[in-house]
Parts: sequence; C-alpha cells; structure tokens
Amino acid sequence: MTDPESILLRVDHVTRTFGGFVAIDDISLDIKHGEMRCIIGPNGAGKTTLFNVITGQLRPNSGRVYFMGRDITYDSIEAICNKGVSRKFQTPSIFTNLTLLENILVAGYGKTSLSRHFFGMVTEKNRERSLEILKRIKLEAKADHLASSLSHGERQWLEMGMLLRNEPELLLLDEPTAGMTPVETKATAQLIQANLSGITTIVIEHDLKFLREIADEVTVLHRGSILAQGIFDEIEKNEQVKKVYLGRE
Amino acid sequence: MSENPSINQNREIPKELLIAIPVFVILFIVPIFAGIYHTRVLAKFILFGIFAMSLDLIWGYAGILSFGHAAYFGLGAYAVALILSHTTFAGTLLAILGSMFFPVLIGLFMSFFLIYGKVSGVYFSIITLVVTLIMEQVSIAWYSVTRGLDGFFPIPPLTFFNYQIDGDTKAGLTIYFYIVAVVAIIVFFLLYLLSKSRYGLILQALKNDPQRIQFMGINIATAKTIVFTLSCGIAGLAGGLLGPLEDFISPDLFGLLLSTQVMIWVAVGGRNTLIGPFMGAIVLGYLQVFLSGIIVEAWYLIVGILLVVVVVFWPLGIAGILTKKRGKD
Repeated sequence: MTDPESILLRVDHVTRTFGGFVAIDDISLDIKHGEMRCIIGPNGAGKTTLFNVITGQLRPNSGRVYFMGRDITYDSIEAICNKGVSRKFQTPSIFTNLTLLENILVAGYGKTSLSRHFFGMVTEKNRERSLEILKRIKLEAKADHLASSLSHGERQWLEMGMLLRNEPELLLLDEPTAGMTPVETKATAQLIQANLSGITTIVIEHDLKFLREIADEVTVLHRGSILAQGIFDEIEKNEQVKKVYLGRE
Repeated sequence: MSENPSINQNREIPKELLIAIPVFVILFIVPIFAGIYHTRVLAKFILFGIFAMSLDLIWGYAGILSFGHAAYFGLGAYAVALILSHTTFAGTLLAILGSMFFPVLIGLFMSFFLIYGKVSGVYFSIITLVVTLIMEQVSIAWYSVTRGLDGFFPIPPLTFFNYQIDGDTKAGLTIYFYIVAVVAIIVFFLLYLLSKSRYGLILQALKNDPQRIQFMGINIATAKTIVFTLSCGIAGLAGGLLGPLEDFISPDLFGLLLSTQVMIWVAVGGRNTLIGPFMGAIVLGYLQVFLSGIIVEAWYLIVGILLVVVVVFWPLGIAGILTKKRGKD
C-alpha cells in the first residue's frame, strides 16, 4: 500500500457499462501528488470513459472516485472542476468567437461565483496573468487575434493555456498531440514539460515517442481493464502489451 | 508592455457607442418638432426597440433563441393594464414592478424545465413558441379578466407624483415619450455594461462551446437562467409601457406575428450589437408605416425579401457589419 497522504486521485473499483458493453470493468487506480501518469491502450479500451467518470460527465455503475480524500463520484461537472480537476478534450475545444486573450481570461472565471462577474470588468491583474500564460504557450503575439484563426496545433496549445489559467491540482489530457505534425508533437512535449512540472497530470496518448519524453509511469488499458502498469521501459518490453497494443504499430 | 495591442485597444471608443450615442441624441430632439401622431408612433417603436434588445441579449449574446418572446412582452402589457385598473394606491409603481415580475416568474418556470431539463437547440425554440400560443389562447378565452378578442381598454394613465400622464395631450405625450426614451437608454447601457463584463464574456464562451465552459467550472444552467429571466423582465417592461401609451391592448401582443417580427428586427439590425436590434425595430417600424400607406399587402413581401437578403449577404446584420468584431481573422 502506498501512503494515503500522497494520493491525489483514487479510482476505486469503478465499472461503467453502456447497454451490454462493459466500457470500464472494475478499474482501480491511484495517482500520487506530482505524478505524470500516461494511459495507453487500443481504441475502445475505455480511456476516455475513465476520464468521463473522473470529471463527472458519466456516473459509474459501481465504484467510487476520490479526489484529495473526498468522494466526488456524484458531484457535478463544474463542482469537480472547481475542486481542481481540469480536462483537455481530444478535439481542441476553444472559444473560436473570442480572442486568444479572452479565451485565457474566461478560463479563470469558474473559481469565483457567477454573481461576482455580473458587472465586473476584466481586471488589470487578471489581464496580466493571462498574458503571462500566453507567453508561456508562446502565443502572446496573437493575443488579440480571434481564436478561429489558429492552426490545429496552436489550438491544442491554447486549450492547454486555458487549463493553466484554471489552476488545476489535477490535469487530464486526452490525446494532446492528436492530429499534430511531428514537429508540433515535439514542441508540445516541451511545452508540457516546461509548464506542467508540479501539476499532477494524467495523459491519454498513442504517440510512443511523445510518451518516452514525458511519462513517469504508464498504465495500459485493454478492454476496460488494466493490463499492465509500470515505468515506460518495462511496459515497452512487456510481451502481453506488445501483443495487444504495441505490436500493431 | 507598451506595444501590446490588447492594452492600447481599451482607449478606443467602442463602435456600438459611436452609433448609439448619436441615435439617442436624435431621439431626444424628435418630440420638439414632431406632432402628436409621430411622437406616439416613435414612442411605440422605441418600446419595440427595447423588446428587440431583450431578445438580442439571449439570442445574440447567449445563443438562446426564444421563438415566442412576445409571450413576455404581452404578459407585461396585461400586467400593467390589469394592475392599473384594479388598484387605487401606488398603482403606477405596482404596475411597473408587475410588468417585470410576472414575466420573470414565467421565465424562471420555463428555465426550470427547459434549461435545467437540458432541452436545447431547436426543441427549446419550439417549446417557447408553444408557450406564446398558450398565452394567446388564455388571453382570448379568459374573457372576464382580459376581455378576450375585444381587447382591453381603457387603460388608466400612469401617475407620477400625483401627475397623471395624459397621452391625448401633446404635453402628456411628450413626457411619456421621454420616460420611454430614458428607459431605453437605461436598458441599453445596462445591457451594454453586462455584455462587456466578465459575465458577458462567459455568455459569449457559453454560446460558442457550452461543454468547454462547463469544464472550466461554470454552472451553465445558472448562467443561462439568469440571462433568460433578465431578458423576460425587460421584454415585460417594454410591453407594460405600451398599454398606457396606446390605451388599448389585445391578444395580438402574444401572437406569432410579433414574436416573428422581433426576430426580424434583431436579425436585420444585427445580433450581438444591442443598438442594431433597437434601430432595426424603429427603422423597420417606420418602413412599415410608410410602405403600408402605399401598398398594403406588399409590406410582408418586402420584409421577407429584406430578411432573406440580410441573412444571405450580411449574416451579422447591418450594425454587425459596422461594428465588426475586433481581432484579425
């Protein structure tokens, strides 16, 4: 048993079915403070469903999710987010009708109650902090451009910037390099390493080069269950994993 | 930091205000020259303009399309007429409050079922449409209270500080006009500030990607409910002020026609600009008065053609082009 003090997220025997299909089957997972955990697995292994259960978008059929020691299984999406769990979607979700700066600004508003935003104008402090984040994701030159003008890779980075503004304790990244060119993928890995150190992160990824660069520990999902777990080099050598997943490369 | 464009941008006067301020100044001058007829007609169109702004708030800013917004306008009108007719003490104050209270109440009721019930998109619009039809039927059938299709009249005048505002004299009508104009200005600046506030930004984000903003920790149902009920209240206030001006209200106020017209004013004037829908109501209103004097039946044909032209060629509406959103595409 690991020291319970250091566990940030505990997924405890969670099962979720869709009709007769078991998407995730009795999964238990402990994520420690400051860890960078990668989840891999073939399509349909239940990776995104697991994220949906953690963030409150789906309720599990059985099992519990604990965050910072508190049961969040039945909390609302926004309540879970405000406790410190932020999520990046598989396809970049940004506000294309707003400028880059406004995208980052609005990401910081969830923490305060809605009524305080009513006639509140954007504060200078907030603006500076958001510009700071744009600098970190290297998009500050486009602060006043509409987000709809960004390329696919830039959109992914902008969404990452929005998550940083959300100041999460736990970050869930669903395929942050999906659809990226190799150059963009490398830049993304650097971006993640430069900005997310210290933030506990779970990443769903397929790109092995990317995983090798960033992962501490890897969990392999297969047909809704955990097939293997360990450091990247071990997982890479695991015969069973090669067979169901890596072998298909 | 000095070369940062986002900081410099603040010093420009927003284009909405560059249009709005001259418009309001002109409105204030009109009654000096206009006779009773035009003062009354313009006051009525200003009320329609307030109504259009209330729809723009939810449609343009929050992406919620209410197909039956006339329900709240009509409800406000009947609230004022009935309260003024049945109270003797502080009737005006109660009537004005009532014109907002009942629409807000129904708005909250609708929000509870539609927004918290996660009804979205076209289904939301269809149900709002049904509500306006129900209200129309109720106002027709409940003869003992609303006097049905005969219409409700006379409507007692509003009284401020023991002064009865008599809409039949030029002096009384002018005062009424300025009350209406001041309400329009207050509503405009209130909604303008709201749209520029952090809440306004949240609404824009919500319109674009509700899931993303929810996963930023915003309770989207509450955010939508607030803006929807606020819009209902403003629509009710505009409707409420129409009764004493016209001295007559009828179930037509709940009708499909008015609900459609307000959407046209907003679409043609320009969603997301507030001043565009306000002007849309006034300009199209006058166009209707002018054209129906010449060719009666052709009016709806012309509005239809105008709507198609605007939607196809200027989807942002007329003010939408003038105030085109900052930022390089």
